[in-house]
Amino acid sequence: MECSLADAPFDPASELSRFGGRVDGCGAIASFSGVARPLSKQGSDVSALLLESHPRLTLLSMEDIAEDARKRFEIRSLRIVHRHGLVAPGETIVFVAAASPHRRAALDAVDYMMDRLKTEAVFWKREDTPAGSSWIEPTDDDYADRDRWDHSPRN
Amino acid sequence: MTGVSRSMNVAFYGPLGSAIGREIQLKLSAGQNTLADLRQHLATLHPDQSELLCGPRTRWALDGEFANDSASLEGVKIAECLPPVSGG
Repeated sequence: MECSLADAPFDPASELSRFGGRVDGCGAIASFSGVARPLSKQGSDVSALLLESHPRLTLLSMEDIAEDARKRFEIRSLRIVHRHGLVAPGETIVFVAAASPHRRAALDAVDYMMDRLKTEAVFWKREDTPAGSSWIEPTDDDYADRDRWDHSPRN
Repeated sequence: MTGVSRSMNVAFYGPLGSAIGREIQLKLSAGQNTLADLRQHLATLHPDQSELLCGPRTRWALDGEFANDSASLEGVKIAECLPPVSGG
């Protein structure tokens, strides 16, 4: 289980390759990459996304989420990389990967970690556009996505 | 330690950092002893931010540890206000 913060662009393909090279005896590796969008919800060009972090609690929150995923699913290895600081449109914000003997556990673990990262990882997101800057909060859909795990059975 | 005024630092993140400032020093009067008291005091000072300061999804940390409304402020050096977070 490895979580890290990146303050510069990183290549998700390289992360996946490194991750895959370290897991033995797993029949499934699932991953997800989140990318900074070029347009805001209002349709304005986004010049940059600021991901503000906390000096201690941000990494702790990522580790808590990964640890909960490890306990919940039949997972052999996990990886989360999350950018902080200024992110340009098109750059990867987050990379999440899980390795398991079976595909369902790997896919579910990645889905679960993303739902929790969206609503619980200690980051604050600000979108900068020519019209000004605005802070982005999770949507009701984001909270609903997270809450569905409270009612689904553990595998 | 009721009946004694105290000074403490309060740090704000995200939208509250932009609106109020990254870190301020605050003087609390006697009788303001809990995190709930601190939240209410800040909401009075910054009424335009009261929804976020007192919102159910805003979390607080006292000296680096998450705390709830009933937590005592006695001996606390810094309170951190963490408005709703959004990673991923």
